[in-house]
Amino acid sequence: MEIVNANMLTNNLIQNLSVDQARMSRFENEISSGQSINQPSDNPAGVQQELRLQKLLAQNQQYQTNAQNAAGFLQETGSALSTLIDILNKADQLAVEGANGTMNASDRQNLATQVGALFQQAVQTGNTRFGSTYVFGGTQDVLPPYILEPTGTIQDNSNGLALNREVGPGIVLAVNTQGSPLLNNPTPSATSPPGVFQVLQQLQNDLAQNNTAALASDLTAVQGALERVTVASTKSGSTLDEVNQQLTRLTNQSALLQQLDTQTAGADTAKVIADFENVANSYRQALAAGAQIIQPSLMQFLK
Amino acid sequence: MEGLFAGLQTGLSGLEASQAALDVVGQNVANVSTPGYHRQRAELAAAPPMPDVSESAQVGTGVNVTGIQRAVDHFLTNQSLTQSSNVGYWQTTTNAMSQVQAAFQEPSSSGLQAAMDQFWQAWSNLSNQPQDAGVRQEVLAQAQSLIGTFQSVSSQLTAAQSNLDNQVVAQVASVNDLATQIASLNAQIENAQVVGETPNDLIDQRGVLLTKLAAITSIRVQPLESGGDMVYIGGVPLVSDRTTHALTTVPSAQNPTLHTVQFASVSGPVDISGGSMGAELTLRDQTIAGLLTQLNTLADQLATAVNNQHAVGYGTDGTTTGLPFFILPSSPQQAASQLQVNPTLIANPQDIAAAAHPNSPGGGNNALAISQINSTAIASLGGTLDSYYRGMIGTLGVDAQTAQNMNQQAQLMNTTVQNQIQSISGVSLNTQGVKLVMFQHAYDASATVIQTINSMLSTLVNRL
Repeated sequence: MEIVNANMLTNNLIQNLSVDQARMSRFENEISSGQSINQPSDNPAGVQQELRLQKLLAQNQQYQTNAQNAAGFLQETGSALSTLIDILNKADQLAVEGANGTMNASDRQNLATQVGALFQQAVQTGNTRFGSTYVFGGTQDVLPPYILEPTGTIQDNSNGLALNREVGPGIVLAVNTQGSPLLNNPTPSATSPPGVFQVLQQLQNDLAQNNTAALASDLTAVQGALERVTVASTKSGSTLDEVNQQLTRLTNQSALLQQLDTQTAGADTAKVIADFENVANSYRQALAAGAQIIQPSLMQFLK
Repeated sequence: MEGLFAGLQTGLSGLEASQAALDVVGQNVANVSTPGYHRQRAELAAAPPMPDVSESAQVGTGVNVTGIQRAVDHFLTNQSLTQSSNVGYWQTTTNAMSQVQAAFQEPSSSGLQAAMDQFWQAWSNLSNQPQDAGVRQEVLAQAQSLIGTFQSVSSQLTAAQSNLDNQVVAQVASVNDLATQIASLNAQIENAQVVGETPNDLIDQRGVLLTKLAAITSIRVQPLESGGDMVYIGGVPLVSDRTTHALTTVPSAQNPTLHTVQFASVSGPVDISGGSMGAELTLRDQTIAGLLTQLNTLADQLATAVNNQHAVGYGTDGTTTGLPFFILPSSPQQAASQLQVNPTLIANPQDIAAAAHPNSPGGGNNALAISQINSTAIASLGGTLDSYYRGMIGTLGVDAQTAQNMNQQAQLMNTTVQNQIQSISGVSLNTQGVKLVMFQHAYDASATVIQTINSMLSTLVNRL
């Protein structure tokens, strides 16, 4: 193609300057935002990956929140169950003492009072709350699950429903320990042993009434309840372990996801700055050349 | 042998030819940067000799200016029109696509993805603390914020659509205006050619108008013997020599707020494919309309899934059940702009069905199930809500990126064609300078001839 005039050079100059400017603006945007993807067209595949990571990070954060809540709940449950274990251990000692033949009726009355205090403490422990949730009440939390009526009977407001926490994708754990029949079982049978409350009440009654004949079976009942509470405590403890392990995994995953996020959408500052310098250089050179485009023509020399 | 007076005539023709050629040089130099100008040159030819029977040797009678020609390559002229349409199409598409991308604000913490994530998180939090009034308020607040984001994206897309529509209407007026000017130039060109003139500058002017027209819509130009042009849009003549067939806009059958372009005299829409108007129609009726459909489908499916799950749960009172969480508009295709949170729930947040069972005020398993909708595939979407949205954004990104690349390519192609045209039709000041010198000297020489004949005549008259 024959170059006949400055119009052609000007066309080329304008075209090249606008391409350089567009690239500089893109690099400048990357540097100032610190992101290599500022709109979907910057990297259509990358933006999908970025949105997926954004969602996974948000989910991960939520799973961590859920797991922390679950851990708190389980810790509260664990401490309530170990309080019950302490109570039953003390009741066990008192039952052994009461069974001692050297004791008289008033001594046993004294022991009965102590067991009565333990029973009161057990009912209180049965109403332990995490936040505003009763840990043994199931999904019912308007009333305390166990209300001791003046007649000595227990009003049971708990239900047997699970409190679930999602601590990972599809990992749903029931975090609550069912209070009934572990703590309260007013109608025991061969297959369904009495609850902690009934065991303590029975012991208290037998001691108060100096019913020495029954104390041996009361002792067995206390030990049976102790075993069941210990099992429940172990079970709850292993759920807590699981939640804690899950928390560690979530924290690690979160770090990994953040790293991926940086790789996908973060700007490689050193590279972008180098690229920017390159384009800026070619832009300056194009401008310098542009200033020389209008060369003198023959017209200037015609006199 | 002819008389001396004939020599004067020959000298005069030389003077006139040089002057005409210098006029053409002057015209070229004056238009060195005029858009659409084609370099002209005076066509000179030796004048035929006088018939003379007595002499065998014939001497000519000087020089004639036979015409003033434009340096033009018709192939390039057509190429230029095509490129003009391409540049118009892709530039408009690129600009509109960046507006559309801005509507979605992805990736960022204020886009729809973030709003959806936060909405599901609020439900998950509610499953942890179903009895907490603050957490219930948070669910409502996140739902409102999600609805707000849907509305904002939807209204920005609708606004972009109606902006494009306004531009279409305005450009129809420009097309008609250009058509009228072209028809009038056709008439002037034909009138000039009938009397043997070469109306080069009128033809150049018409070329500029055709380029402007091509930037708006793809056109086909068919030159006529008479010098006029036929201009077709979508196979229908817009300019038919000296008459025009105006375009008009009528409310679209599908969406009465938008306009269809058609010929006033022909029923049915006209096929406008390229140019900025072609881009506006494609963006308005396909790209943006498609995104709006997808956005509405997303909002509708999300709200329906939440409603279905919410209806099977129970409120804190232990008995309230079967309530929808969202109120959906009657048409699913207005879901994004008209979705609402059930006002009953706003008034009574305790009725939000967090519990999966009756009489479970502390139960959060239904809230947990709602938060898990996020990871559940929905058959009509072919995946989860998230993956559907990601697909939308990915396609938008590809479309926008394609537009940017095509725009750059079209600009480059256009520059190339413009340079080719310059190389054939542009004015070189050096060449014109040489011609200036040449014709100036020719003029001087012709004047000297006349002067010489003059002195010969005075010798003849005074000395004899």
